[in-house]
Amino acid sequence: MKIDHEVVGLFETCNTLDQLKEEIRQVFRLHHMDDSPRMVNTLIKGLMGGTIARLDESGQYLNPWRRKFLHPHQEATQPEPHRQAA
Amino acid sequence: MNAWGLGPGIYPKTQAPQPQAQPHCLCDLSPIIDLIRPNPKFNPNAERAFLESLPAKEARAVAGSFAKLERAKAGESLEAIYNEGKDELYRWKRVGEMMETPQIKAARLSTNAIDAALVEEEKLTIPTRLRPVSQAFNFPDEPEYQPIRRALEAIDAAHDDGQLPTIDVQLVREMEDAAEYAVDNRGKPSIAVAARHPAREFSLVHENGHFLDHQAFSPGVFESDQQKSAMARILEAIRQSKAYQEWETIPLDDARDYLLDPTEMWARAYATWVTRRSGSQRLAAQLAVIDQDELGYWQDADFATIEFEISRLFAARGWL
Repeated sequence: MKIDHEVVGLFETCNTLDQLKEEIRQVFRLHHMDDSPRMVNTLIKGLMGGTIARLDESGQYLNPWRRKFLHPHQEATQPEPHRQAA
Repeated sequence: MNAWGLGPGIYPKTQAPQPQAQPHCLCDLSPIIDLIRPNPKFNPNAERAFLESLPAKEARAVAGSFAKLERAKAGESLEAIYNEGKDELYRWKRVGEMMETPQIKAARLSTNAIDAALVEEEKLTIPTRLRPVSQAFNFPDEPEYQPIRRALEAIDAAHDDGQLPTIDVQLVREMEDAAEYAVDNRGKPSIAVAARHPAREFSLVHENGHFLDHQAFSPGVFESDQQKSAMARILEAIRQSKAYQEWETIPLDDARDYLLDPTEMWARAYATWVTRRSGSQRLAAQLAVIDQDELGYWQDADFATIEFEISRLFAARGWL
């Protein structure tokens, strides 16, 4: 499995940015890669679309990881989709 | 006053006080051409002796007040007393100093040359910003927005801009990244900056790079992403840098794609350029922090050609 795929999987399973960074660091170590904060942060930034954020018509981030990890406070206040329909 | 041993009121020409030397001064300047082998020697006690030779009321008038008279008698020079707290324009000057002023030099030039000198002098002291970037930024007039104002001051010090729409800037307390440039589904941009991030000024400059890219060239499209981009030479200079060669070797597709993305390369280069051009120590310190935290920046020598190309583009567009 490519390292990129392993890392993408962590974006689904981790809940906080700190946890995500630590898990990615461990994957890098396992693969004998540079596990410095510079490398880890750069990869995370890349997977979140850099510093450009695209918003949908309701003003929500199109990149779901951006909302989950960079704006956790906003994520917590999002209404559940099925409740919205009611 | 015989300060130089040449006789009362006679000075070596560069040392003569430029009238009016004091409020009650009635002096005028005229050359003395009949001194034979003058040998001027400054007498530091001449002022005190002169004041003591005057009636008390007259001595007070020359010194400016009784308090100043006492200071002069105690050894302070009248020049120091007169000039104390005064704007440089109104200080007591010597003829030699006046000869060195830009105004006197300019008077020797032709009218055109004087105009050119004045324009040049104004350029050096006051950067002319017909359309400062800061005018486009819309944010609350509150003390906590001081970091935004500081970042905009640095940007304005570095360059002017073209026609920009207004953009809302918001400080966000709950935000894990330093800043972001958001584009809504109608293409309207806004900027969010993390209120507590240690590199928030530098990050705002980075986001302004995205703003210029998105709105100052062809509004609504990122110029750096276009086939025939106005930034082509800048991007080529970036591709020739040593840093770029290192980014290319990173064995992670997503990290590499981010680092080599023209839009992000431009914003990182722009923020570095503003930091260097503005001379802001705060931005320089924050760039060092960011450089420790993520890849994507350049060593000084590696940035020289990129810096040159950004300056060339901005000069060509009349933004400098």
